[in-house]
Parts: sequence; C-alpha cells; structure tokens
Amino acid sequence: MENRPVTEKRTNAFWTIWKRIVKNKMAMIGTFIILFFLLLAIFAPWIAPFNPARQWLGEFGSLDAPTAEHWFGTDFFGRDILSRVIFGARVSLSIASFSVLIAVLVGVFLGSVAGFFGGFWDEIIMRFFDILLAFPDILLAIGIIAVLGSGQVNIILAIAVYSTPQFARIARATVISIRENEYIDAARAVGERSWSILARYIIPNSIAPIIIQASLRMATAILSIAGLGFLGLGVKPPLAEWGTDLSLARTALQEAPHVGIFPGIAIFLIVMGFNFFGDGLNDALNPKLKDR
Amino acid sequence: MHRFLARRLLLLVPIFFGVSVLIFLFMNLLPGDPARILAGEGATAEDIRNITLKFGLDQPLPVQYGLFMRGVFSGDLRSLRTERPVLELIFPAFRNTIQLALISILIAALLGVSMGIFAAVKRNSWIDNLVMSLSLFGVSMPVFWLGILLIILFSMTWRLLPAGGIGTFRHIILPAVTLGMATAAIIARMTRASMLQVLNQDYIRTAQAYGLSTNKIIYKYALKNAMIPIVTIVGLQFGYMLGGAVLTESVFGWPGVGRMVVDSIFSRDYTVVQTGIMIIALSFVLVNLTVDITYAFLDPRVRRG
Repeated sequence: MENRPVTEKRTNAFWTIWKRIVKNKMAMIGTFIILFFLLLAIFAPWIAPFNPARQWLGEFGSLDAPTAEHWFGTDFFGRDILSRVIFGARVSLSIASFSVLIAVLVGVFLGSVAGFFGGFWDEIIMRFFDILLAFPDILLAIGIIAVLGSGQVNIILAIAVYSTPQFARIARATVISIRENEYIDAARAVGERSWSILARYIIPNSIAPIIIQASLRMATAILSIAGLGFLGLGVKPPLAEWGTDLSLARTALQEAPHVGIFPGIAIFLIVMGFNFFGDGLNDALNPKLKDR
Repeated sequence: MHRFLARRLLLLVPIFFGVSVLIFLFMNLLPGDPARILAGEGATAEDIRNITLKFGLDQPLPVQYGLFMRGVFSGDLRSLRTERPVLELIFPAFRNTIQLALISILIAALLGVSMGIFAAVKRNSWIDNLVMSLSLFGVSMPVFWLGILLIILFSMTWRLLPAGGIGTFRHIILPAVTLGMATAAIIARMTRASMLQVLNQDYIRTAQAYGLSTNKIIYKYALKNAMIPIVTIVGLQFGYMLGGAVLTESVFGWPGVGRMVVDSIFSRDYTVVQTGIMIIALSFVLVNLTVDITYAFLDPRVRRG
C-alpha cells in the first residue's frame, strides 16, 4: 500500500520524459534512423537481394557500376554491395551494442562503488580509469587488438574497455551528488544496507545521463568498429562490415569510385542517428541546458 | 599557483607510471613466450636465450619493467625487423604526425570558432540551424570516408591535389582538412555554447544598455571570457589528434606514428608497437596537462579553487 504513490509517480516521470522525447524533433529523427537500421539488421536475410558473400564472376564482373540487378553495383570480388551494406548493419549494431552494454554495466558498477564508498576504493578505481583515459580511444582499441588478435569478440572487448571510464565517471558524479540527499540519510537511518541503498535509490537516479551517454557512445563505437575494419584489424572476411569494405574500396577508387560511397553513407547515417538521438535526449531531459 | 602546478605535476607521476606498466605488460599478455616473440621468426634457441638474458625475461616482473624502460630510453630496445633503435624509428614518424595535427588543429580552430561565434550571435536563426546541423554532420562523418570522398573529388575528378604522400605543402592539405573536420564541428558547438552562456550574463546586458555597438560587445567583452573553454577544447582535441590521426594517416599514406604502429602490428614488430603507443599516450597526457595549466592561467578561479 505504502509503495503505490511512489510507483505512480515513477510512471508519471517516465511518461513525462517520453512526451518530451516525442516532442523533440532531433530525438525523433534519430529514433527513426536507428529503427530503420535495426530493422535492416534483424531482417537482413529477407531484405538483402543476395547472399553478401556470393561472388559474381563471369557475366557480371567485379567492380560493376550500379545496374537494375545490383542497385549499388558490385565490389572488387564481384559481391553485391547493397546486400553487403544491409548485412553490415548486423555486424556494426551487434558489436556496438554488446560493447556499450558491457561498458555500461562495468562502468556504472565501478563508478557507483567509487562514488558511494569513497576513500580507498574511489582512489584505486578512478586512478585506473585515468590511466585508460591517457590513451586516445582508437589507439587503445588498436593496442588491445594487437594483443588479442582481431575477431568479433575481441573488438567488443576492445571497445568496451575504452568506453567504460566514461560511464564510471558519470555514475560516480551522479552518486556523489545524490549521496548527500535527505532521503538517503533516511534510508540509512531505518537501517538499510549500503548495497541496497546503492541499488534501490542511487543507480536508478543516474539512469538519464547514462542513457544519453550510451547513445553517444554507440555512435563512437560504430565509428571505431568501422575504423578498425578500415585499418585491417576488424572482423574476419568475408563477413560484411562497412569499414572493411571501404578499405577494400580504397584500392579500386580509380576504376570504380562507387564502391567507396555506399558503405560510407551507411556508417554516416547510423552514427548521425545515434548522435541525434543522444543530443535530442539530452535536450529533452535537461531542458535548462537546451540553449547552452 | 605554485601549489596548483606542483599538485598537477605530482599527479602526472602515477599516470606516467601506470601507462608505462600497462604498455610493459602488453608483451607479457601476448600469447606465447615473449623471448620467442622478441627474437623474431626463425630465431635459434641461442637467439632466444640471448634475448631472455638481455631483457632479463627470467627475472621477476618489476626487474623486467625496469630493464624495459631503460631499454626504451637508452636506445637498447630495437625494432624486431630492422634492428634499429626503436626511438630512432619513431621520432621522425612522430614529427610527421605532429606536423599534420598542428595544421589540422589550425584549420579546425579557425573554422570552428568563427562558425560557433556566428551561430551564437545569430541564435535561433537559419544560420544557427545550419551551423548546428553541419556540426552534427561533421561529428558523424567517419574520418576515413571523408578522406576517400576528398580523394575522389580533389585528386581523381578535378586533379587539384595529390591523393597521398608527403613532401610539399600541397600534400598536407587533404589530410589536414580530413583530420580537422570533426574537430571543427566539436569546436563550433563548444564555441556556440560558451558564447551563449557569456552573452546571457549581466555585464553584457549592461554593455548593451550603455549603447555599445554589437561588434564591440562581442569581440571586446564577450569573446574574451568565452575563449577559456574554447582554448581548453582546442588543446584537448590537439592531444587527441596525436593518436586519432591513425585513420587519416592510413587513408593518405601519411608516414605518421599511428600508421607505423598499425603497420608494425602486421609485421609483428612488437617493440615498435609498444614504444609507439607509449610515446603517443605519454604525449597525450602531457598535452592535457599543458591545457590544464593554461586553463588555470586564463581562469584564476581554477588555480585558487
């Protein structure tokens, strides 16, 4: 009985946030772009006209310009670029989502522990993250791939490692600002344990900034996946990945500039989608900051 | 101020130490025996034993760390491929990266700051919307794809600029623009935000009430205070470029340190990978420190706080 008003209030808060998001043009454009690519990724085998690894050799050669059959043309190995762009959404979105998810879970946990308990743990955890932040992110990913080797799981780990400190910092800052509130004192006074306070009151309150950061980090992660692919440190061929395909395209730009266009448009659009969504969400959740 | 400087410099010690330990462990994390890796392919058992003795690979880890650091700075640590001292290889490449990053940051700062001021002054107008949309495009653009597009346009279609290589000023234009575009977008957003915050303050309203011209208010009174966060972001972005330039270097065949690291991964020249990443990370930390100190000089509240 005593919990009911709280639940109602929470539902209302979510409803208010949702209404603000819907009203925000940028957030909505971002949502549509993300949904579009999400659908492409999920239904790729049904949407894509061909198997992305199938090679046309013979009547259609490699590096064909766009035709009625191959809307985006074919690449160096005579593979259908449209199908590769569609399947590429799968690789990018899945690697990016897993790595950001790991970064959120680990970062929020360690950041909250550092902020809530302070002292020794705070020093140890945050100094370690300071060291990770001393590496420009793509470089850290390159170093990790150099040790572990390329492949999907290692890319997920590499991106998760350099994304984690950002979430830890946000979680820590939020926890510190919430820790001193009276309702936390009240919870302590009625004998609630630290871990329970952390899980029930503090972490839920830091969700908004975390979601905003997660959306912006998805954009960075997708750029990094493509960047690693472009450097030849990405997923293993013949898996369709936009950055790897662009790297291959670079060798054939002179004869067939079209191969360098479509995978790039895909990366650009989806990254823009996440940036729009994150930015719009930021405006919607922090209306005071909108004009800053 | 002295105390602030001392504190910041002192904080540098654990970071430097942590970074170098992490890089040192890199070799131990590689699958396989470090001595075998260092000795290179086709090494005899004796080569491997010599390497083990030379780098103290049979010693406890802290001793190995000391030997490694001494090796890096004394020039004993050599490339596994060319057998030249690693630092001798890395410094010229690093110089090329710094050259590229300097020109890029110059382009980015000029473009970003002027667009940001323009957007802030014409707030909520179509110009503001255009600048903000362009800046979102800029941060969403994969840098290597921008490079490819510029090559298609300027090198292949119009044949105005070389698509790669190094040597003359013409060679640096496309890579510098490519590397600087996303940074220009970030600086533009920061400048706009910072200018808007300053323009909302009372002293600006007072200046307006006194009837000063808009130009004088913007350039003489507002910009001075708005510049503090802008200088910070320009500095941080420059630091980031030292490592982040790797993709641009790869597109244009620019012989920078990032590209050297990636090439060395493929040729399994791990001592170059190790030292290259360490040099970039340490200079990134040093640039950030310089930015922090500059910030304190510009804003007395920081150094007293």
